[in-house]
Amino acid sequence: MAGSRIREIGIKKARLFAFIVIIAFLLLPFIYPRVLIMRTLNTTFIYAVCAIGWALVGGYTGLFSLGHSAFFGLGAYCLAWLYLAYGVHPIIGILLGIGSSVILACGIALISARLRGVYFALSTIGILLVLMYVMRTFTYFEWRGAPSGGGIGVPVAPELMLPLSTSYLLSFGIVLLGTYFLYKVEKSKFGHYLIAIREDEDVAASLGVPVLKYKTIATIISSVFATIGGFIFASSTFHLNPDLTFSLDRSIDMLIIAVLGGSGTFIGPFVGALIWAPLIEYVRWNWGATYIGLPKILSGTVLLLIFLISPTGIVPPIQRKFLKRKKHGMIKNA
Amino acid sequence: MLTLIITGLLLGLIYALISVGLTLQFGVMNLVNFGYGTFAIIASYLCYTLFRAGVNPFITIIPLFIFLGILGIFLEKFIFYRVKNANYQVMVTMAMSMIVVGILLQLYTATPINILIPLTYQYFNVGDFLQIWAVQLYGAIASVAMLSGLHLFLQKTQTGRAIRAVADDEPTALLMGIDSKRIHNLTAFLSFGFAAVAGVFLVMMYSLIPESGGDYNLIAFIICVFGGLGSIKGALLGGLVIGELQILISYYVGPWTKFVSLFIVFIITLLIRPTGLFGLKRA
Repeated sequence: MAGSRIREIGIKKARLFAFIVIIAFLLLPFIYPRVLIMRTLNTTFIYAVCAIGWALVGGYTGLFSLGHSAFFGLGAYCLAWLYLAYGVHPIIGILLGIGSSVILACGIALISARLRGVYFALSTIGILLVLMYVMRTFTYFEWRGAPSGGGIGVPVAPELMLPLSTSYLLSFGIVLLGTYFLYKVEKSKFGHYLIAIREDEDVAASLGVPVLKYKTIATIISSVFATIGGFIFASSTFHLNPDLTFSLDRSIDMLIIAVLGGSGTFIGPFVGALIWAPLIEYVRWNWGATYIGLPKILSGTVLLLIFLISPTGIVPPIQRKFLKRKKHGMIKNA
Repeated sequence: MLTLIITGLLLGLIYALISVGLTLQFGVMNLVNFGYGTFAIIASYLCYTLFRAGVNPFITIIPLFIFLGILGIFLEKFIFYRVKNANYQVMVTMAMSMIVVGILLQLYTATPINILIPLTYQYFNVGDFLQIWAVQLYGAIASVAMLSGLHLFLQKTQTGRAIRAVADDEPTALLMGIDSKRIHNLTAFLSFGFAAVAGVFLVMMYSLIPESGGDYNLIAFIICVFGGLGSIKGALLGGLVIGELQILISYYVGPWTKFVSLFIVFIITLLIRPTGLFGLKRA
């Protein structure tokens, strides 16, 4: 009884804290509109949206997908490339992007029905590589008299670009929605099904969980998040390139963010993005040219340390500590 | 046409050389190594450095075999032995390969490297219908020699029998008095050594960048899955089939199918026979 009351207080405090953080992020573009900070945070939120998508599949359902940047790239390309090459209206481009991602997600879910663990991770890498080669080969078109697309990459039309503050608020809004969605998933029957599938697929199936159905739903929702990340990315950058959008590094970034924060917790991807995205972007932009190997060394070291020391990420231990201290407080009061 | 088929076979033998270490690691050490290709690339870069210093690449094969083998023992002792969960193994080995790629990028930049010496960069013409690339021939010969040596070692010697026992059933092997840690170390030595030899031949055949390791890793994995993870026969046959397919399809359809064809083989194998041709167990 008392314990639950203490927990209630803890949750209330956490809610207040979350409220203050949200208000601070929302007011930032009006109070302190510095381009550098806003751009960094915008990138962070794009990473966070993708990581939320990854966490739903990798953290809750236990499918270690390494091909999530395929959805990201499909989103970015359907928006920017179709508009520039064929004059497809952006809204139709967005619908097409989501549609193609959903189809790909269904394919990946079907693969996951037959393949587990390592084979699944390998086949997602394979899908990503195949898509990258296809995009490199088949997206050539002529733009202003010069060849464009393919391995050269696609410039983003100026009409598609969002102003920085709009992009910032949009991406933050989607991060909030995504985090709230994960929170709801964690509490719902759907989330419990997913966790049951993660813990033991065969036992879950034998207890009557429709495994394939829920895997498919989770993969589709997750793909939509990654695709939305791709849309925002395309509308806040100048140039798309198959090697950078359909890259394994980007998938690994999503994975690092989700796992660093704690991929089985709803707040994990957001926390992970706030830590990892500014760090890696800073390293890439400032030292990436002089020390080309540094970003890779950093990513690899962090990934290695996470999996050797604490595969659950940083949020669960903090949560546990927080609750423990509360418990001690309760004993003292009694 | 004949040239294409022979080239495919020779390439397949070299692919078999790449994959056999991976299949050993999976079979004996229960390790899913996603960084295997990158460890082969370490040998390529070391060979390239020695070559720039004036050493014949063929002389470097044995020292690099030993060097990478010792590196493998260290990694097995300090890292691989602790990680048992297959998903975590994927992440840990991938993280290690990223660190290696980063260090190589830092030291050698992203400029492609290649070793061109007259001994390897020539073509043997047989009549006017068959043309063989010298380095592929040497690589194939080395591959056949090493694979048959490994086969004899595993079949005829006491240590080889112990390795096979550990691969079959580690707890029982332990009960029979086999020091499984020693066997793991020996396997790590052998498999990383094979990676080193493969790396030396790769850098004589193709231009490599540090990230190429990922591509060869994928090829090696697909070969192992096709032939059955853990089976040396499977690695040989898988290498031959995949090499042949890759050469023929990319010649007749287009170079962009290089990975698409492999991937289709991979998916079909896993859907029809998940254990591969000669595989006994699944990951």
